[in-house]
Amino acid sequence: MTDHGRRDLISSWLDGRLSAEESARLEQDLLHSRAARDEFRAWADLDSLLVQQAEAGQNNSNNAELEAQVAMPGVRRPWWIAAAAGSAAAVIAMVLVVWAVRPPVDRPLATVTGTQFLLPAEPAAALAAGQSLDTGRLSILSGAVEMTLRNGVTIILQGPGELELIDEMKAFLHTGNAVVRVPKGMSGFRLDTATTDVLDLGTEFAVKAESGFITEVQVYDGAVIATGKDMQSGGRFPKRLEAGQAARFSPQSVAGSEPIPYSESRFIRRLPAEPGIELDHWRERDEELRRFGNPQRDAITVARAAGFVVVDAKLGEWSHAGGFTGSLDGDPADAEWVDGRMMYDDECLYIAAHVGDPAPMRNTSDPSLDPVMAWQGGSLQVRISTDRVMGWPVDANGPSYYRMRKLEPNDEERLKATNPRLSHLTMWHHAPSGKAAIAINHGMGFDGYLVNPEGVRGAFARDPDGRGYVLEYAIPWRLLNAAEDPPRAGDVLGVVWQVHWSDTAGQIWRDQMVEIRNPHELRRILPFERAATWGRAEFQ
Amino acid sequence: MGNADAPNAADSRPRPDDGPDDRHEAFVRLLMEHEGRVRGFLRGLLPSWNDVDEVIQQASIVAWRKFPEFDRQTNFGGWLLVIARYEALKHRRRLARSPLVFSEEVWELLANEAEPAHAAEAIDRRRTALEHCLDKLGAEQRRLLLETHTPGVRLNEIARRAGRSEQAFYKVVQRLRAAVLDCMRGQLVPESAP
Repeated sequence: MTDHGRRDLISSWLDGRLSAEESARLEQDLLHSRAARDEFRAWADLDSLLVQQAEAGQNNSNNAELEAQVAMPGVRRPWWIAAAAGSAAAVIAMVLVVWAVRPPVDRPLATVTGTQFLLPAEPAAALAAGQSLDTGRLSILSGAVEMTLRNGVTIILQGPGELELIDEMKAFLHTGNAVVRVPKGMSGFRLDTATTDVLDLGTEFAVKAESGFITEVQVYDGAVIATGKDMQSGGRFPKRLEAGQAARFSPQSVAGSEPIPYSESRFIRRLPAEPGIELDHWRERDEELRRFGNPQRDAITVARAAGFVVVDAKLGEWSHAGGFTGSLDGDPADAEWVDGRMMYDDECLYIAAHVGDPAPMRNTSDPSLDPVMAWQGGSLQVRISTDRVMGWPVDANGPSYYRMRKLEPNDEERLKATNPRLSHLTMWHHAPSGKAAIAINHGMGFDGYLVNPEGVRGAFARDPDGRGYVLEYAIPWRLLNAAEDPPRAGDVLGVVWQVHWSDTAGQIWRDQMVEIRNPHELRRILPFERAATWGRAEFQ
Repeated sequence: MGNADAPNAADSRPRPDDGPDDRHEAFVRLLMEHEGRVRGFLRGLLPSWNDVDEVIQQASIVAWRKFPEFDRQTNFGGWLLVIARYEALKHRRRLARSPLVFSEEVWELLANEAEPAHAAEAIDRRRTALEHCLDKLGAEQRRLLLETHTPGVRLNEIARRAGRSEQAFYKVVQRLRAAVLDCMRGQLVPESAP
């Protein structure tokens, strides 16, 4: 083989441009000729050095400020170290270097620059655009708040969530979803969770902090270094994530992290312009209504299905079924209303609803990624007891009921909270796939999420005028841990309905209707916390 | 830069009483120091930079897990190279159906001969030679050559911007590479001669 021919083959191999036949020729040459292997190595080295040089030039021009911050005093940084600054290892080193852009301190640490459908965790801690924020915790129950730090970093926190502002270069996400956007030319902002540190390298990224110490990171623009924390050894290993990548970090994971699907619409990246600030007393009233609803009914009749139920979002089989109708504010002219029905047979529980919704079936929550928070994007939640022995009212409280009231449950109360015959069903239309979705969990501690389990049938249909939708589900009793002893005629069990409406993007929770609630229970108790608030399901 | 292969060359190696943060810092510094060299080694074994990135990530994880066992009297670069070679072999088996993957026999030959060539000092000399030879190119040629080696940049896009066919543009790039390589050989001969 001529030198020229050899060079062409080697270079083409490095560029991934070689055919199978050419590759075989090169391989034979390499096998039999030491000179060929030397030549091959020289070209591979050149390729490697040129890539490092190119990266160094890129980093030097794009990240001059960052470079200055990372550089260690008295140490000359040759170009290949600068090149490494764009690669995994060197960026890791930035984690070790403490730096911050120190702006003048006469401005507040952050300012609220937008809110949407916001419900703060504490009514006294209401947030409005223009409000100053200092270091400390910010907790919201639902909706979203955008805050802009004095260095220009923007954070959007989506509820329920809790974020702690530490300084202009660092925040801690205790729970919930947050999207961080860093101004052009700036790097080094850090958003930590209990199990993961996320270092920005000039970017826009999202972090989700879940219960169970799971953190998910998704990068929209630029890159981040996410460092999972190993709970056992206290050690950490950093992972670089680029735009279009997402990963889940779990202390239980052997690898520390695993890639998960990137989902463009998963997080809230922008809030619409602030619509204005309402008068306080109206806002307070609305917040209470949004939080606890205004239930009008305490019971629903659950009729026995007359025959096989075709799940097609056409409610022909439902004419004899019991149910209820109502609207968000009790006004028949409301755009938000619901006509809810329930039926059963020996195999399944059937649920149907016709929902008035100006933005129907837009929920973007991916069942594989976000079943826990899927209710926020527009959904129906039904919580039901199949425990005939317990009867009605249902006696069980969730952990948050005790925690929020600073109570300590006794052993019996803890045991009741784990009752597997108390089920929570979240049903939604996943807009990106156009499919019906369901998440089921049990007990008042929401144990073990079943997502789209086999056997569930579900269907959605949009109203012809685009102002509502019909949903229909058949849920086998076995999925509610009641296959051996399903509800039968004469049973009175616990049930509550929550119909959720979202923003037009199907991401931010806007409002809800709570129906079929026990009127003897105090009003300011959330249905998911205390099963005694559930109304009666009267099986015919 | 001194000889990082020499024992005790780095004072950031782990010590038995290192806490997790100290250990982390020592590891990161060593990884930063040696990663470029290992990437170069892997490039001669794997058909694409994506493959190199995957292997280096996996090798780094393995190295971090084994770091508490790392003997401070030995050299980190060589240790990392061994781990990377093993991880590359595993990766190569996954890619075995690709026409660009060499047989295990050729792969072993390349790996065995490449290891000594990737000693830290040899790499430093080649870097210096490359800097010198790039300086000898015209500014536009230098820019073009580096742009084609920028991660994420596609050759056909640069060719389109330059108003040339991809084939013709590729030949230009090839000639520039060959010129730089010949220049580097000229630079390196005196130093590598006995």
